Amino acid sequence: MTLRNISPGVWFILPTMLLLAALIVYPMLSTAELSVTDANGAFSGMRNFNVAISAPSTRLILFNTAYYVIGSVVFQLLLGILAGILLNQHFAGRSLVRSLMLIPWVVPGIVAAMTWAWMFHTDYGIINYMLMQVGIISEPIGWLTNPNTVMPALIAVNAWKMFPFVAVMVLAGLQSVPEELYEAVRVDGASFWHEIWHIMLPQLRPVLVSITLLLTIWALDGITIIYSITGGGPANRSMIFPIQIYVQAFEYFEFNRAAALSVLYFLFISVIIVLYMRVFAAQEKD
Amino acid sequence: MAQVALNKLVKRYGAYQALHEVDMTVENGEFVVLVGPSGCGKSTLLRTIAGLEEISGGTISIGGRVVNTIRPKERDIAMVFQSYALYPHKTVRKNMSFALKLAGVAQPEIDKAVERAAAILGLEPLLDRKPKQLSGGQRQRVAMGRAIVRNPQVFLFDEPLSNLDAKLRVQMRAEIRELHQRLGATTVYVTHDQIEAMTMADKIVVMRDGHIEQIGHPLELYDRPANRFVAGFIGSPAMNFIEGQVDASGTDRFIASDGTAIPVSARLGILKRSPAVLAIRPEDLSIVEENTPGAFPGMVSVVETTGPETIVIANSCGTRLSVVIKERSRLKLGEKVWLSADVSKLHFFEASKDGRRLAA
Repeated sequence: MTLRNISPGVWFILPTMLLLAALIVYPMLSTAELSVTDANGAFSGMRNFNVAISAPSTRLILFNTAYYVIGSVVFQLLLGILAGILLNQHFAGRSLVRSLMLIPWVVPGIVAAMTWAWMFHTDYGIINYMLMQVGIISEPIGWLTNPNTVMPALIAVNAWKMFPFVAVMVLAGLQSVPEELYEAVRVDGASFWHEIWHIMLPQLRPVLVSITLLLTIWALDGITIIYSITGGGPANRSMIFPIQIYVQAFEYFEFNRAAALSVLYFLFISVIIVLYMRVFAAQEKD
Repeated sequence: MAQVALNKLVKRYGAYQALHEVDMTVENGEFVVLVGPSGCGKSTLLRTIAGLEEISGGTISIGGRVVNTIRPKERDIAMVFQSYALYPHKTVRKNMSFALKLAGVAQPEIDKAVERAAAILGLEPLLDRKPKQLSGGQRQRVAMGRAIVRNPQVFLFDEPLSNLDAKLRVQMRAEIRELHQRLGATTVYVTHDQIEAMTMADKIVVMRDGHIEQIGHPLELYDRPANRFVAGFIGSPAMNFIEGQVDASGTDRFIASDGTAIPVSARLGILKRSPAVLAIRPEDLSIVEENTPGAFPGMVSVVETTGPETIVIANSCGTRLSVVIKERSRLKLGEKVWLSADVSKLHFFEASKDGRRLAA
């Protein structure tokens, strides 16, 4: 076969395919290889996996990851939908509020994380200060050091960071809802709550399905906020999978175990994505 | 069922006034059609009755109750929208039952009402489908079903047929009319299509620029239009207008601006000398032999054949005159023809901007 016989389409996609192979396929295969070898490169079978699975922290980390992802996505959606619906109403200063709302999303993740870390500080943080001033709490809460409050606090930061994205998408979705639908539902006797439930949310469904997937992916690999605020502590109480992989690899230099964790995490995410596509994308079709 | 009464109704959008002191009454069980060109205020008027627009002055009453500040849902009206506005994620059954459900009606009663409406409109096989699985005509029927189910005091239709193709439009026109005869509900129907207005209405309201130009029975509007606007709007092909004046020499002739003389009735003496507009419907003109008394010349510029009749457009009297003839025509473009007007069917309007009808 000569070069002339190759379909021109192949030449068009070849650069991209090579790039993808170099940047995605090779690292994946390389990680898979690392996961079944030891530090000297000798084949070690499933030993790295056994170590990773039997480690007592793994279960906690898995739980934390699910907690963080579900908590973040739920609150990002709730806040975002609420904000999107409110910003779709007519009121004075609406454009200004719409712009201001974008701030959390625009602020670089590391800046937001450091700012929140200070705000949550047990002794000097403004959150404890304000809560004590109004008498809601009598002594400072160790938001980031108490095992029971650290995850909710981090989820709050993540929800705050990403809700504007949801709000923008919801707003765009709502603006494509025909005005006559609202009028029809008003003539039919609906209240504002009915409008939300029977018109807005069903009409937003395709948008929400897509952004839920995006938010889930972003939360699953969301290292910045947790790593820069708590580093996974206290005592692994805020440790999530991607951070654990990072720590194993680049702090303990256990590349083979990190690779085994990566493979496990890859399977974990794949299962979630496949389930998600099955449930929601299938419903979307009918 | 109820009477709808509008009294000095005013609607302003900032400095722009969309409705100017509109007075109108829709009697109990009457089918009233609001008709006029785009931007005449007919849809705005309908939406104020529905309560979807606030009014700036005057009163609206439904069934004797002033509803100015009452929300749409408490007005006991049902509306069919131009886009149908069916709830896309709900089945036909749920679309139809939604209003009753919101009103807290018991499920067995809802089912009964939906079944009844579905039977009237032939929607039974479609009840479990979603709107996007329906054709345009079926959606239109569901939109009407949604209105019927509620058994409202007043039905409001906002150009409901304008998204349908011509054939379906004619069919649905008859169905809506039949439905009205069956239910006897007070109905206000908006359209820009004068044929729809003529064929469906008990009473037509012709609007222009936020004013009512004339209210009346379809044939009353056709036979005695109150002004030049109504005369030109109602009827297709449109009425012919010839500018000129009644001859002062006492020979009972109307002299068009290009000097053509058209015989008119002797009773028009009062109009002598003042500029006026003579109007005649295309079917009241005929093509005649050259020597016919009172015939005036024209030159054929367009011949349109519709099958049952032929529309000839001729340059004559300083304008273009449409003539509808029943027989097929062998006329050629540029051919000279002789036209004759039925003297008993002539209309006269003032030459002024308002163009009011002149008594004759």
